[in-house]
Amino acid sequence: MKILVIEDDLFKYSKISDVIKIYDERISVLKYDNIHDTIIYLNQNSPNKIVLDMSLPSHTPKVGEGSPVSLPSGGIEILLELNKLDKLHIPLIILTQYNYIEIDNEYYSLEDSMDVIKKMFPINHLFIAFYDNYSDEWKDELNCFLRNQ
Amino acid sequence: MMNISSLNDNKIKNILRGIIQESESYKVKKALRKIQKQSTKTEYHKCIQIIRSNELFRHNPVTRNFIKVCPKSPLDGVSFSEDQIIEQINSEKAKLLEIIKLHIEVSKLIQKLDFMKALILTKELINVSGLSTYTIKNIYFIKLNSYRVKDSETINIKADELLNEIAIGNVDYLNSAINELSNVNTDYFNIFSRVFHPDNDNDYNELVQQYLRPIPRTEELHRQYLNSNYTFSLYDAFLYLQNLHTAKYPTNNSKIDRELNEEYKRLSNIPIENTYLHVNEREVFDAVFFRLSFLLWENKNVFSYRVVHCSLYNKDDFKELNRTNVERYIIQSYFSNIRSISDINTKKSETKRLSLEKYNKSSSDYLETSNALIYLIEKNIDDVKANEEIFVKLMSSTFDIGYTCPKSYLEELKRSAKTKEFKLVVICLIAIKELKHTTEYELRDILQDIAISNFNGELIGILEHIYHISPSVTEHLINTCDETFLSQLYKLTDKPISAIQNRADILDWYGDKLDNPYYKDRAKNLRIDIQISKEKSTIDDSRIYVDPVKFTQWICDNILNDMTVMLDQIDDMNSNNIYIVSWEKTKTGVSIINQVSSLLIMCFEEFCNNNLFGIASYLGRRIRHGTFKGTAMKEVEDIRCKEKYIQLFQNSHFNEHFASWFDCYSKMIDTLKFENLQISSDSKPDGLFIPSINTVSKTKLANKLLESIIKNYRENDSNVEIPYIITEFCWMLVEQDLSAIRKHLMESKSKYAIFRPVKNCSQYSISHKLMSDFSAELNSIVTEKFHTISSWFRKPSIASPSANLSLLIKAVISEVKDRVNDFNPTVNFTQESFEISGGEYFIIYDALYILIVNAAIHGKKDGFLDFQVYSMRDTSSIQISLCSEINSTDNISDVKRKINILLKEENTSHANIVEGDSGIHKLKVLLQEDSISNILYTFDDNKVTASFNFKVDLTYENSSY
Repeated sequence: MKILVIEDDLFKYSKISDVIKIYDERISVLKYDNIHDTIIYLNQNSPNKIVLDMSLPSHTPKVGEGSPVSLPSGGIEILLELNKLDKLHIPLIILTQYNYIEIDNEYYSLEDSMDVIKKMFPINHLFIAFYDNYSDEWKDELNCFLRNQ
Repeated sequence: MMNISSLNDNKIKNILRGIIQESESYKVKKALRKIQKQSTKTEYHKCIQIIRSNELFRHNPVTRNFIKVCPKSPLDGVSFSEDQIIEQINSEKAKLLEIIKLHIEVSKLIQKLDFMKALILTKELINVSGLSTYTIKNIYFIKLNSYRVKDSETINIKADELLNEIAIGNVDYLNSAINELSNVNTDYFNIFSRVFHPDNDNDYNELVQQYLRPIPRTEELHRQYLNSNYTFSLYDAFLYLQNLHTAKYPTNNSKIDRELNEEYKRLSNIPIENTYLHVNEREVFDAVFFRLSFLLWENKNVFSYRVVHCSLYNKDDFKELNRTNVERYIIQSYFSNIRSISDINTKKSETKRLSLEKYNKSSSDYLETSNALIYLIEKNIDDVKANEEIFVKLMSSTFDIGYTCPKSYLEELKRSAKTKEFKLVVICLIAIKELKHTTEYELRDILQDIAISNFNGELIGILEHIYHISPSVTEHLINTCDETFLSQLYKLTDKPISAIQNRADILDWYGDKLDNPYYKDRAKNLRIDIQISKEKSTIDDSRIYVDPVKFTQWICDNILNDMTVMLDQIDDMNSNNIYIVSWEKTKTGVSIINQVSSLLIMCFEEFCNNNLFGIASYLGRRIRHGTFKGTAMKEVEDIRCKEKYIQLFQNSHFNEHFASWFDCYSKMIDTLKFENLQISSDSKPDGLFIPSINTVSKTKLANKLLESIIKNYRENDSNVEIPYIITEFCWMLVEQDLSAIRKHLMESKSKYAIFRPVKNCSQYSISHKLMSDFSAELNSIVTEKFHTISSWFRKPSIASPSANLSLLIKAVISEVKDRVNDFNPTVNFTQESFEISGGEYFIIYDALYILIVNAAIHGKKDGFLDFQVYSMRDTSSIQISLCSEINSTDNISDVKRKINILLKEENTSHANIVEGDSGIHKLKVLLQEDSISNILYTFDDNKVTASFNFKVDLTYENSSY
């Protein structure tokens, strides 16, 4: 199984990756840390599951290539692209450090945003979890997502 | 006039007698409340009519039929029927006739542009207690048109005197609303939404609502509007009913005395002077008139013009449904000559003339054309669908269609689109209407699609193509395609720098197209940014973030209109634009400058404190719930598990030594997390983000912000750039705190995070080598972590460009190397560290470019280049000098003579057109523009030293980590 983790925070990624590996070390974890590379990847590939951060940069920062744009709702861009590619059947978990998600200029609690996203997109397998480095709740939710077929 | 004796109840009579000659509003209100509780509705109404009409109560400031000063805190909860008020009107016929006759004379004088006499007569009108909201609006109309006559200053003074005399301060809300609504630079839609906000319960809001929606939509609203007018004065109520009656709204006007009706007709038929209707000079002329039209709507044509355009020019998606029959009838009559899109003006009219009574294709301007298009879309959308190209073309003679066209129609047009150009335009309109992820994605998607399939991935191809159909759509796309937007065209932009490159190309192309150097300059500045980015040896990453779209939107929604009205009041006398502001006291200051400053402080506070888009939002994620502690701790903790160091940790002395360090380190991280990396407040006094103007440097920046805003508003006569100026300065202000935070982080690291090896290792049986390796590795980890964390607290370069001077010099040398073959100098720097912010560094770049190109072309190509940079605190400037070697074949005396001749030449007019062989002319242009100063050349052996000074704020902290 191939899981795509879209996450720009190295530390958070390492935590997510640890949880996945503990769950099943055979899972191949693929990491993208920006929207541009993720979109290019998704246009040609389909992972089995996706772990998505909401706040993402437009590109990878590289020496001499300018400053990427920080996009607090960058995750929505990925959802829109998946929708266009007709790939929203891929199970997806949003794992965010915000306790709200901004969708179309409105802020929704994580609970409410589940409904809003489901109304916006034909998505069935959606999980949303709040990443708090000092809590294990998100780990439980991620495990639940991993178990879910 | 009614008398107390007409009342039946003695108790009520006595209460009323108690407030005879009373001038305190609270006492009058208290008495009336008492009466209301103790009497019937009819009796209560009688009481109100007595105190409104009887001379015994003429001092009461709450409610009178005829007034000389604006009423203070009007009565609420009083509702008279239309018939009751008409009865009052008829009973006060004589007084109303006296007032209306004077009003007619004032109106005639306004139409003759004899403003001074109009004001003198207005004073007479007020003296006979004929003050009404119409008087106030007439005074404002005169003020706003005073520029048309010679003695405008005297007229404005007189007008202000009158406003003072009528105690305009009593009706602050009404006054502000009139001010904002009639100011073309304020945001009409924003005012609209505030006025109709359900929470707006201001006493005068119903009066103001009528200015935006002149025809009441329900009977209940009609009654409320009538009473709000009646509360102000009986004359207001009379004119309200008359205006509605003229618009064919069903009122009981037939019950109004015939003579009064006749006089009203005279007033409402005074022809509007051509000067106000026929102007060529101003763009969107009709929109300017529309904004003022409520000030003059006692004229029946102006009133119906207002009804037509208010009904169409709004953001209501259900406007067609919500419209009253009266509005429908007026709109239908106005646009009766429009049946298809070809009946709408697609060209710029040579002669613009307002068409008050009927839409006129040949002379219509933007607002009329825009509303004509909305009318047609409502009436016959199929005709629009069949004429896609004309629709696209119309985008150049209309405005705000994205806001005013109901979404359902736009969606319908999108679905039916046959051409990509039309679809692109409609999606642009939808994106303007709803700044949503989906619509913006759709816009980016279609742009990328057209660019890839038709123009080889080149956006300029689309712009060029669209420009031939509608230049305005191109202009809109150019405004939309900023660096952030272009960065998100993921299929066209593979790296951030390409977005800047594309933006520069677009601006260059547009500058050529319009022959406008402004766009070329912006392009050039972006190219300098690109050059600097290429020279940066570090990753240009920063985490701290304030959402620019949301912040500027917040400014537009909450600050901009008030600020615009205030900026209009700042006199032009202070040509030097130097304003001394005590920022700590500005919130309580009463001067206009203090009020503007107070708004700027509110912006900065919001920039820091807003939990959704401000610095606080970032801190919440990164620090409270985020990975700050994890980043700082994880690898430090993990080092214990490294096999190499197991032996060390088995040593109890070392273990104790490490535990003590780790405890100290961990406490320091917690202090940073809970105390320092916070917005300073009463509960977080040690927070390092300080959302106030608390230092000399911040004060200087804040003063500069104030000056920039006033200057920008004066120069452009528009507030469009103000939110961006504020955003840029907020970043500069917060950069002071960021700099302090980076410093604090490094100090904390030095104090608490450096691990020192155990002394006398051998004494504790610890391997010296292992101890050294461990210390080096741990300190290296901590340094790296602090470097990472420190980088999170850097201002994003996209927010406000800045560059270190040495980087600037490197970037220029690199650019010159590309231009001049074999130029390969040995470069030496002697300089203090200077961070140059904002647009300033473009000037240094220009000057440096000239000096370095000179050295490259005329000097020794593989010689040395010595740069020296010094701060000159006495002149608040930095001096930059460049010493270079001359060619071995040249003679220093010849070089000196040549340069001196060029320096003495006075004519620099061709400097920007002809690329001379030394660039000294251009340097002199920079000197004349006051961009640089003190250009000096000195000659010594085989060396030429050129120097110039550049003004900078040396109090601004130039340290960076």
